[in-house]
This record gives sequence, C-alpha cells and structure tokens, in this order.
Amino acid sequence: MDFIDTRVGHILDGDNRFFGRSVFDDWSRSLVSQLDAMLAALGVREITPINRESLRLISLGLMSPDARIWPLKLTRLIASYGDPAAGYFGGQLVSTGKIMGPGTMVGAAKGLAWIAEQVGEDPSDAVVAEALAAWRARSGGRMAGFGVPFRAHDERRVAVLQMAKATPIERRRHWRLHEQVVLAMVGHEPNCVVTFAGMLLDVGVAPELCGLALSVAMGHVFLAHAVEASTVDGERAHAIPVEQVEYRGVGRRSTEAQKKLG
Amino acid sequence: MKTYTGILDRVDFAERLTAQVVEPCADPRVHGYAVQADLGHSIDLLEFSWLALVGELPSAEARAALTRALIWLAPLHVGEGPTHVAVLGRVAGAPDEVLAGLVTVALGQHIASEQRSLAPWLAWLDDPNPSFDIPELAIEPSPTPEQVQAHAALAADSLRWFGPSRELPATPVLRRVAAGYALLHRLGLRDPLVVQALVTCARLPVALAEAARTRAGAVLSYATRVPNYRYVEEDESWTSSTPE
Repeated sequence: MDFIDTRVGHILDGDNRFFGRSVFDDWSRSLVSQLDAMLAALGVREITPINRESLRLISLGLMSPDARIWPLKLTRLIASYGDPAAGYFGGQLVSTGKIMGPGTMVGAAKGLAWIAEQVGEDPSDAVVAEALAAWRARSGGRMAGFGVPFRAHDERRVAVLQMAKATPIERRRHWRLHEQVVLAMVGHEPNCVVTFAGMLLDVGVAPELCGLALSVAMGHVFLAHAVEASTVDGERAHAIPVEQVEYRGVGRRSTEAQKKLG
Repeated sequence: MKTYTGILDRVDFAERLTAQVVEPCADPRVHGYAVQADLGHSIDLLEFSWLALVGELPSAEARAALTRALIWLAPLHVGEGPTHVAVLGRVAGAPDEVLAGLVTVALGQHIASEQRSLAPWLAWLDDPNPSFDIPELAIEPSPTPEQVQAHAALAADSLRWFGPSRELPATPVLRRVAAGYALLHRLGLRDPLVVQALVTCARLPVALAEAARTRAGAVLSYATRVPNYRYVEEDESWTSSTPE
C-alpha cells in the first residue's frame, strides 16, 4: 500500500513528534502559548516574538463579538440546542465563504502578495499605485479589504494601527505595502482585513491560507458564543414565534387529489 | 528524510475497509439489489432510502406510513432552527457546497431534541395498557377543522397499516410532529441514527429551498435582530496576570 507522507505528527513511545520536533522536549521548551502551535500548523516556521505579537494583535482586533454578527448568530443558533461543540464547529463552516472576513481576507492577501511580487522591495507610492491598478484590472475592479459598513471607520483597524505604532510590525514589508495600497485606494475606506492580510503575510502565512488563519485567530469569539448559547438561548433562538415570520411565497392552493375529496 | 515506528504502527488493525450496504462493482448493489439493472426502474427514492437503512424493501403499508410520516415531518419554517440556519448561512455567505452540511448539523441537533422531548409519548405508544394519559406535548391544543379531518384519516389509515392493537388513537388530535414520529415508531424504527437519516432526508430540501430563495450576503433584508440579543454586563472580578 502506498503511503501518504505527513509531516505533522506521530505518536511514539514516551514522546510525540510534531513538525519534526519532540513534543515533550523541544516543543515544551520553546512553546510560549497555543498561538505558537497555531503558527506552526499554518506553515509558519519562524515562531518569533514579532510573529507572536502580530497574531496577538490580530486576535485582539477580532475581539468584536456582537451576537448579531451573522456567523456568530449562526453559531448561537446551532448551539442553542445544548451542544456547544456543534455550534462552535458548525457555525465556522461559513468561514469557507467569500463574503465574510475569512473569504475577503484571502482576496486581500492574494492582492497584496501579487502587488508585492510586482513592485519589489521599498517601492515608491506611485509604483504601488500602478501595481494596484493592474491587480484591480485583473480582479474585476476589486481590491478586497475595503468598505466599512454602518460606520465611518473600522475601529478594529484604527486600534491595531495604534497598538502597532512604533513597533517592528510597522517596519515589515507587507505592512508598509498595505499602507501604500490604502493611500492609493482614494475614496475607499480600509477595513481591518487589509491590515491583517499584510500582517499575516509578514508572519509568513501563505496568501491562500490567510482566511483560515483569520478563522483560527477569532476562534475565541465563536467559542464564547457557542458556550453561552448552549445554556442560555434555548427555544427563544430556535423556535421563533410565527408572529415574527412574514410569509411571502405562493398563495394557498390544493392538489388535484385534494380537490376531488372536496 | 526520517521516519519512526510508534504505537499505532504496532496495533493489529483490519487491513481493508468493510462495506455492508453498497457492494462496490460496475453496477453497485445495495443490500444485494443492482442499482442500474433493477432498483433504478423498479422502486422510488423513498423505497430506496428504506432499503438502504432497513435492509429490505418496504411493504406497501410501510411505504404508505413512511410517506405520511416524512411529509408531515418535512416542513420547518424559517423561524425553526435548521431552516433559520439555512437562510442565515446563505446571508453569511456559506458556499453552496458547504450549506447542506451546515444545515445537516442543525437538523441533527433539532431532531435529537425532538427525540428527547417526545420520549414520553413514544413510551406511551410502547405500553399495551398505558397507565398514564397521552402526554400533553403530543396533543394539538386547538386543532383546526382541517387538522381534525387529517387526524381522523391518519387514525383510520394507521389501523390498516398496523392492525387493531397498534393503530394511533382516534382522539385526541395529535400534533403533526408527534404523529410523524409515532408513525416512524410504529414502523419499528428505533435506532436514533436511522430516524435521523430519514427525517433529515425529508427536511433538508425544504430548509435548502428557503436558502435558495435568499440572496447571498443580503444582510439588510435579513431580520438580524430576530431573535434579539442584548449585551449586558455584571460586576465580575477577573483574574489575569501579565508576564513580569
């Protein structure tokens, strides 16, 4: 039988291996928090203080856990039957879509990565603007990570910019590039996704995995709602009274068999 | 390249996957019946589902009872969990290839919850001389004339399907869902997984039909505040330390 080679892990006698290192020896000495293992899982091989700080800031920025935000409400609805695990994992299936954060994140990361490839190191604002125009021409006029609904500015981006101020994060390549892209996107308000895309690319996450990285980084928010809803929400969530439902479908009618019965 | 021999390499696991329903061959057989050469033109989808889950083709009575049960159980309006999940999943941009899975997770929770709450009613059905009244949760509190008529027809049909000692009671009028599960119970379907499978098959198209009529990403035309959530805070003391 052929083998499918895996480099993730292996159970051994008295120790386990995880990405080429001993769990109870190497990892036990170097693992600072669960974030480190998450970075390794996402393919990042340089688990450094600046990469940890980037992921910490992203997790903080994503702590915007209003229960009415659609994927979170979905998590609560499923968990309302009593099983937080079903709500937590079930609700996050929407992360595979293109509309909410993780989906737009992939678009933003791919855009930034493509522009970075075109412009090289330390490009001028004009060169970035030109590359951005070329990217938008390739992607139906869009650059993901822009647009802020219901408010003037994205408070998450504003806060992360503030927290990253004067830290090495600001000096990293994709961070600087994202600022130039924001400058060039005149009339388009940036949201946190384009900033986080730059940060994740600087951490070393592949563009196509940045959406998944975002999902993982906001796992705590889904978890909190799943845990609470499993004991609090109940029928108020999953049995909405018919008075709160407006039917707009086809009018009442009968099958031929029913008509014959009168 | 380095590799290791560990605990799982030494365990004596089976070497082949086991198939007990579908025989993998050019014309796959389900419990022995050929799909292309036989079942495809000799039975309908409901009979096929029964065959897959039960192992034999249903009798005419079982088929009729199953049809009644699943059609009665099928509709879940948008205010009910799984259909709400379907619509909300669509609004939140869940892709088509994932939406059915998402709804199935919600259906599993919903059906398990129904099975738990209807357990006293199913116990009543199992008792040849029940010492207690039909549980209230199985009784329609204020049936419409149409429901009275439908229940009378169901009771009469159940006498024909299951015989005089196992028919459903003519009175009181049962709730639609309680009657649906009672029929499945009378059909001998006791394995919760089999019930999950059949009821999911009945409800999934209905829930996804609501989703299919919802525009992906249409957050403004979706009732985001139904149900309404309000953020509240208590005076709680948190303990957390920062690195020294």
